[in-house]
Amino acid sequence: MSEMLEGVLYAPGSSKSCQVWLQLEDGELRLLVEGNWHSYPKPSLSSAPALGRMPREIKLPDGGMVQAPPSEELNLWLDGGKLSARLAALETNKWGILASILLAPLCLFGVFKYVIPALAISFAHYVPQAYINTASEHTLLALDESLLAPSQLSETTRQDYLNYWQGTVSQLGLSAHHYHIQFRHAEKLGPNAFALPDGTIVITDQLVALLEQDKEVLQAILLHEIGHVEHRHSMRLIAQTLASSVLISYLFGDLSGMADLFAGASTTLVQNQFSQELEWEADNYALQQLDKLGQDGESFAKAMEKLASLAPSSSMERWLSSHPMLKDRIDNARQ
Amino acid sequence: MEPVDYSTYSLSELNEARKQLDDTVHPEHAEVLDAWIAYRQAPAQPAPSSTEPEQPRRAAVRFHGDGQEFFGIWIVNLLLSIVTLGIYSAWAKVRTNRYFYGNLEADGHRFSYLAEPMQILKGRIIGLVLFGSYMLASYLSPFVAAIIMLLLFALMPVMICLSLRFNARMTAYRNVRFGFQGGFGRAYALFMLYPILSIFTLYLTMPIVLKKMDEYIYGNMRFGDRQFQTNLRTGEYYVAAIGASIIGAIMAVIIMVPAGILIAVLAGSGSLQEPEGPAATVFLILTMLMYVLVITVASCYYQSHIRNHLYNNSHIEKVVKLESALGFWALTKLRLVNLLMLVGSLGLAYPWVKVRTAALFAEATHLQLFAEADQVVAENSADPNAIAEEVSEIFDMDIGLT
Repeated sequence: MSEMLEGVLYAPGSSKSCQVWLQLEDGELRLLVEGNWHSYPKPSLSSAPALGRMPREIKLPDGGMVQAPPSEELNLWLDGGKLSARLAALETNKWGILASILLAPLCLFGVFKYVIPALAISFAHYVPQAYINTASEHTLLALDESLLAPSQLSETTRQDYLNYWQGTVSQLGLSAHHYHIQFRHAEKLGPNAFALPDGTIVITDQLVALLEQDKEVLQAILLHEIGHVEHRHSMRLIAQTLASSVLISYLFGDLSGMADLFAGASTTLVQNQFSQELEWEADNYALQQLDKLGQDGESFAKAMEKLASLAPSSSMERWLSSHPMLKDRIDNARQ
Repeated sequence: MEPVDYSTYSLSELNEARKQLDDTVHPEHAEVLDAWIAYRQAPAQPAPSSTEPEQPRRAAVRFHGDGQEFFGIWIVNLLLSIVTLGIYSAWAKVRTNRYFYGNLEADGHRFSYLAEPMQILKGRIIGLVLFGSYMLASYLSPFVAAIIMLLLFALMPVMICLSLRFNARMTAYRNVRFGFQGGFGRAYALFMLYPILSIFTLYLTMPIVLKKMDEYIYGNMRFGDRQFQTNLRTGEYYVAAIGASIIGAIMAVIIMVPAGILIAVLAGSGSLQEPEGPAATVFLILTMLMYVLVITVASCYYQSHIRNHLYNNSHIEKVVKLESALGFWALTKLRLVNLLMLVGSLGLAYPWVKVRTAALFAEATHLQLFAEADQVVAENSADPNAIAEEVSEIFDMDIGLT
């Protein structure tokens, strides 16, 4: 027979409490309350797994609660070999803690670097084409209402570009009807080109002007945009943003105040790294396609140099920007 | 015969059940029933007190948590949460809350956190699905996104109210649960209408709104069958808000003047012109640090002032009066050291930071207990679910409680 443990009994349904003695038997808990013995079969009791050196709380079937100081004997009797208890036991195990200190940052890195991007790729393939098409139409509509205006380029210039582009597309064996080019005048956006996930590529008049009608350079940029479409980057970015922001909020969600600020900053950093990764993928896609056309990366490097001439960059941008640094991209193209 | 949960029975129902029960066949049920009838009758009996005002007993509040112990809990739960891609985070949340509630002791009794991990997990899954569809929908069309934003905004007061209800019901002391009974209508006025109206007064009426929010949150709290009562003064909210603004302004001036001189000197030497230069980066970091410092000190003044006022004017009649003496300097020192510890350890000091904070808040608190502290009766209501709590968390709609 085991030793008796002293505890407190909280009566069901009220704030009353009294001293109680506990006796742990095989299959039942016996309580000595004010001189009377009560017994409770073990399956009728419930208790959350041990936590630190906190007193154990045992819920009785009648709604009462017994609180007893933690002891190895009581923990073993209550928790036995339950999975939740075994996991909880790691928290007080020296090797469990040491392993966690080493593995937590490693696994965190692995999840963000490999697991989430891989999940995002498979997610992107499940998004129906109809959704992608509608999303693209609506986005272009909204942009036309706000940032974009009809192109001011002459009809012949536009046709010239389109013909050149048709040639490229058929040379690369891409479906011509899938990728159609739209010209827009964009005062606020400046020189820019972007692809919508359905394959529509928008080029601003400002970009055409910046590139001084150099079709090869423009082609390099367009191939980069096609890289985004071919690899379903917009859907992947949605999935990655969703997964990473939710995971960060669940892992570090109980941070409060200023620590919250840091969590917010880390979300931004992680997302920028994702976005940069996708830019690299699109860059390399463009370089591969240029190679197929028998061209080297020079035209792509030129395009980047043109963009670099517009805005000076600082070393902080490596972390704060959604795009990789132009200098690195130029080096990559010239390799 | 299955054990019956009599906790949901009223006194008359209990008496009825007692009459119908055959003592000889089910003596154990008769015993339980008798006990329940005795509890239900207890508050109805006249208290054996005299006509003199009773003297309360003053009891300290202590926090027994330990930074090293919580570090083990935190890091192991973090690893398990990461490798299960966030699923275990529901268990981690419950264990963390259990640790901080269960180590908080007042008058020799501990608090308890009662939520089950599965409740939290279900709430999180629903929150995730809603958040995911929101992201997909907002990508589909800006118009749809705007509608969803409006819908979320419209639901915010309900979410706040349900979260308060959930968190209160999951907290217990002496085996008696807390509760929150604030209504949705009032929540709409307080968390939507009044803050919008205060914009038109250039936020000059915001302290009144904040006072009314606290009245709603704390005045609607229950401990078992007893209601908290608050007696807050608008003036104190103005003192706190104006005090915090003055402290912030003075600090900003003290910091800005040397910073301005520094900029002038650096600009003169031309080292700020070069965006890649270390001077620009250092300057950016310093500015952010100063901003954090000013906000921290000013918010500590507000928080300590309001917490003391709120606690010192809240009570449950004949049960408990709260006392708080949280010093402005003590809180400021705590927050600044916390910040240094977090930055210096790259976040690893987080468990110590949490424990230190809980210990300071506990130490600043006392209870005055009255005779009926032993006679609070648990109230029974359906268990709320964690959905609103988790949804509001993922959409960042939580409100901070002091």
